[in-house]
Amino acid sequence: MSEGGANDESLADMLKGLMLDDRLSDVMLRGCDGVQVPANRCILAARSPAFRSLLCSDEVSEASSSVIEVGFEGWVLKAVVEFVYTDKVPCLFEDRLLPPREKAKKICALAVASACLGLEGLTKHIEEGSKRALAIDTQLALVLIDENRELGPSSRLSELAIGVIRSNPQPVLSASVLPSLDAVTLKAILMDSQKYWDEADRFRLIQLWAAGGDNALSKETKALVGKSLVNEVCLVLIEPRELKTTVAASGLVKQDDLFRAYQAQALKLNLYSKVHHELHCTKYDLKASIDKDKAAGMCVRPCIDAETRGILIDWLLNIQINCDFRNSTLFVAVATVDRFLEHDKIRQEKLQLLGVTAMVIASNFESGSAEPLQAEAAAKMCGGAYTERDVSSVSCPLLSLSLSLLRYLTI
Amino acid sequence: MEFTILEKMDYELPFSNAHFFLTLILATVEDEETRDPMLAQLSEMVLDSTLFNGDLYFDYLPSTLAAASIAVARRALGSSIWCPTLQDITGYKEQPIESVANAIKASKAAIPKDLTNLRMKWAKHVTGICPDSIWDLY
Repeated sequence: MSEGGANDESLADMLKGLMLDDRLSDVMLRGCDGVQVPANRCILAARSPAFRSLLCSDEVSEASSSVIEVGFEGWVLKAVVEFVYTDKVPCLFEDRLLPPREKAKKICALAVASACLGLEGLTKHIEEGSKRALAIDTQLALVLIDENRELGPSSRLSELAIGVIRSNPQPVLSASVLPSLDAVTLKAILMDSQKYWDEADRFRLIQLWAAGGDNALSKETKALVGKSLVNEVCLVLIEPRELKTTVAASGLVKQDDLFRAYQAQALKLNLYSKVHHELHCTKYDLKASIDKDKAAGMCVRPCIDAETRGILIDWLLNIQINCDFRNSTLFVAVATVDRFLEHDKIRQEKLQLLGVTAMVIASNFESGSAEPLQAEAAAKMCGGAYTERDVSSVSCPLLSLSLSLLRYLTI
Repeated sequence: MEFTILEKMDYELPFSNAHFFLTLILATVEDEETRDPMLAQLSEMVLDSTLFNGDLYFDYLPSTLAAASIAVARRALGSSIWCPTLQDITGYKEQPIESVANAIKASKAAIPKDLTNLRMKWAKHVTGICPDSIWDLY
């Protein structure tokens, strides 16, 4: 080691010794919790421009008392003084026993103190230590953003934490600290300009947060906040099956919004259905299909008398003619009616509703170049006997179509 | 109602109906005679008429009804009722198909006269053949 290095080492040892010897201190720093930390004015002033201006101010220099009130907690003051004397920071970042929330609080408190006192070296140490800790702990990243929220997402620690989430967002969904986050933090994560989650994940994030109880907010308040945050999620981009199950069951989405999302998807998927109709007819091996038909056996007779069934089919034929639907649309609609009536009777007055709704379903898949039949028009065709909601109620949205299409495409 | 229907059917629409088989047979066959668009339209017309007769519609397999509709249309257009190509691609022999075709013919009376939409649908058919007159040619 060089002579200079030896001198540096001895200087560090000397300063540490100075720090540990209370008799040599000439100032006492008192934290907001009453904890007192002895120090030397000249060392503090040499290391921190903030301490220098404080210690040189008339008010402090003329005071008879050598105790200076500093608005940080005692442990923060100790850590700061230790860094001032030794250039070392406490083993905070590697402490695996410390819960993430506690660790984040400490990191933030130390970072605030370091920034206030102008200790650039300490700030750098905190950032490097945080980086190491964040790389292995997504929970810490979440609570660090949470604890740092008053400083905003542009603070360096928040940037580091968001960077960790961006590079690996999935663990966030299983993080136990998620429900404890503040709504502002949740929104910051949801609205991050870099889209690293799909809409279903964004929705799940809100749902998990709202359903969890570990937060200062009441369950009711969380539900309200969750409902407002859901407005930021584009429901149309969520997979139909997910919409039907998770989203619908969450209670966070208004029925009308769900309905609109279903409708939009049904329309979108209908474009594909026209293409897939052609595929449908060509992708099957004829003989295999006939074998399957033989294996399936005869259709079960529906619970409806022949005359009534004939009248219903005649009316469906009329709809087909007027709407210019393909023949396949009619057959799917008729088969749907028959299947529905396989085991159950239906009241006479509901038969027309069953028929027209079957036509709505079939036309959304098989309409060819014609516009699919919408629930509103279908209801009108029944001469006002039923409403649009009777045909396709809000609680059972049009997008059931999409679900069946999913099956259809995966047959 | 839409939801009720789909839930009951477990979200599986009945695509494998008689019309599906008709389209599939006509799309699979390669000889020119059977690919005739007029044959396809007449077959569809015959198949439409089967919808009204529950005895027919539920006593035969959808694929059999589709094949028999083609057979009726072929004969109405002056061809033999069945051909080796159709037998080869469907696996159905002439005799059972002919008996189903005869059953379709026998059931034409099942369509009540006051149900006019089937006739209206096919009234403007280019061949001039309608659901009532096709049987005169069969």
